Parts: sequence; structure tokens; C-alpha cells
Amino acid sequence: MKYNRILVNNNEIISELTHSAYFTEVTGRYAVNAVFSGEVDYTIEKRKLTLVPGSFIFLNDDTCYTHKIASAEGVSRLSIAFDPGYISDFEASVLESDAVLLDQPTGGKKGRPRLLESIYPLNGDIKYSLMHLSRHVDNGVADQLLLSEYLNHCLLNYYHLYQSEITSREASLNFLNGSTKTEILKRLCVAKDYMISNYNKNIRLEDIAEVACLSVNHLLRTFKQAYQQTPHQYLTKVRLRQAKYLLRNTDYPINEIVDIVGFECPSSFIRLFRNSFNVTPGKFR
Amino acid sequence: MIDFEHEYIVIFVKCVDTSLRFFVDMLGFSMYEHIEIAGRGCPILQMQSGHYIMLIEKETLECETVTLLTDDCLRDYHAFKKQGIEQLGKPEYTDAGLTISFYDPSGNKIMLLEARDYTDA
Repeated sequence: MKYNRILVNNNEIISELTHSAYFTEVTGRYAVNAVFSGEVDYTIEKRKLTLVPGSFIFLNDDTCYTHKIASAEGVSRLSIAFDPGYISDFEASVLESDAVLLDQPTGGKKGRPRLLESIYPLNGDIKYSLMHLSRHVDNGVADQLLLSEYLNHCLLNYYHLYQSEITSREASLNFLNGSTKTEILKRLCVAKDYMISNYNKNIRLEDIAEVACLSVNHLLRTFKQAYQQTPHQYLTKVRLRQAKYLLRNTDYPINEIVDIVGFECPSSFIRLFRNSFNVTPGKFR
Repeated sequence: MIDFEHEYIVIFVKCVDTSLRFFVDMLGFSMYEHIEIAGRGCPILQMQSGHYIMLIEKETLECETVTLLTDDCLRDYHAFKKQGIEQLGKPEYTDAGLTISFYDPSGNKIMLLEARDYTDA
């Protein structure tokens, strides 16, 4: 099942439920890709990432990427492609003062924004905006103004998230040089995305550091500064979040879920789950 | 006869007929039941989200803020904008969720709230 709609402002919404798909895309448009169930493998330039249920990725207009779906259980995903002109207008209307907008109604000489590409958990307001939008397109809603209202709010929510996940974290790094901060956070995002994509594997700290082009000590120090936790604690949270999804959406026995999400021992999983969510996995289910 | 299985949100209004036209024709609420309390007609309306409101006429009215729950604030905002609801505020993000507000013909401030769970964030 696939729903594909191009709106008057050249934005496009794709909602699909599929078992198998392969796309090579240089869309020339900014993209928000979210996965609600199943997993989607992405190759973004040289990076290999996996979008797990309850996560989304933002991609710039000039990014070349492929995505592959091969799943027996089916993958439900939503993809929004934003026209670069729409993003520029949106940025100007949100970030610029009224005086600047009046002086430069066509947006001045600013080029296309280039945002840091990263995987984000699908929670907070953007989860609601994307899920409402997905429900409307699946129900065949054709009202372009209504769909555009959701797209506008998806962007609002994304920029708000970007502020807390990227801009604020970049500012929290203890470096004087702004471009050093930007580069370090970019590499930390690579490390974070690697952990999210490989949460179910036995990942070593050395592997994460190598992927992020940082030394182990540098990774540990800067990751703690940006995320107020160690990479190991972050990975544990990703695993627990996935365990929560599997407990809520599948019938797998808890022992199997422990294996699937990459924990070694059920008792430590139960202890960590209870400490994080104040409920045991059994009671949560 | 009041159905005690449902929870009603009571809105005191100056004129039931005017308010009925506003809530049904403009906001799209549907008439669920018309009951009588102390000889006065009190319509019960159902919102799109399934919640119920009861309109009660009152001569001396102090305007108040009434919070109604919805399951999709943006859908309702879009529908109300299309209907030309006056003084319709833009959607606002709060700690409790997404809200919009407007005024009914009696001057009550109606706040529509889509309650959101941010505990995972």
C-alpha cells in the first residue's frame, strides 16, 4: 500500500506499508523520513544507518542516499520531501524579525540552509504531527491546506528539536572555536547514529570511536559534555527504548527481547528497565 | 434523561439557540440529546473527539474559560479557520499539549486542548 501526494507548493508526502523496496534518491529536496514499524536500511553517502521504529532522520536537499526495505513483517514509513524554496521561506519567517521580513520580502541573499543530518527519536510534538499526518494521508484526505498545515508544524517541531538536540549541545561543548564545536558535534552525531543503527550488535567503544573519527578518550570526554552521559549509557537507553517498543507491539517472550535488543543477561535487563521506567518489563507489557 | 455514563462539560450561555447554531453549524459538533432541567431545554452536543458538552442558559452570566479536549488540534484549527471563526488564536504549544482558543457568542473563552504525553521526550 502506498500513498503519494505532491502538494501545490511542490512538497511531497509518501506513506507506505511494504515488505520490500529499494530506492536510490538524489531528490533535490529536504526530507524527513520516519519509521513507525519495521526497519529501513539507509546508505547516506558512506554511512550505513538503520532507522528503527519510533525514529526519524532529516536529510538535506543535496544528500545522495539509498534506502532498502526487506522485511517479512512489513514496514510502515512516512516520508516528507520539502521543496528548498519552502524551507528557505519557512526559515526566514521563523528566524527573521518582522522588520527584516518587511525590508527583504523575497528573503534577501541567503542560500539554502544546510542542517546537520542525524537520527532522532520520534517523540514529543513531532511524533504527534507526523502520526496525525500519516493517519490523514492513509485515510485519503486530499485537502491540500490541511496537509500543508501539518507540514508547517512538522517543520516547526523539527526546528525546535534541532535547537535542543544540535544547537544547544554544540554550545555545551568546551571549545573556544565555533567551527571546532560544529565539527565535534557532527562526529558525535555520527557516533550516536552508529549506536542507534547497531544497537542490537555487540558494539565496542573502539568501533564507535573509529566510525566517528575520534580517539576513544576524545569521544568519551566530548560525548559526556554534549549528552551528559557516556556512550555506554546512551546505548543502554536506545536498547531499553527498543525493548519497550517490542514489549508493546510484539508477543516475543522477554528472554527473546533481551537477545534481540543486545543485552546479555535477562536479570540485568529487568533491573535496568525497572530503574529507567519504574515498572518491570512484565508489568509494562 | 441524563446519561451518567458520560462526562459532560457544562457551558453556561446567554442564549441556547444562538450558541447551538455556533457549536453545531460553525464548529461541527453534533446534537447528541436534548434534555430538560428545571423546565429549561439543555442540549447535549458531541464533539468530533467523542467528548460531550452541555449548554445551559443563564440570565446573569460571568464569562469563563472552558477547556475542551480534542484528539487532533490542527485538524480542528483548520476546520474552524475554514468556517471563519472570529478571534481564532493560532495553535500554541504548552506543557500539556497543543491548544487553540476562541470565543463563543456568549463571550466564554473556549480553549481546545490536544493533551500530549511528553514523558518519553
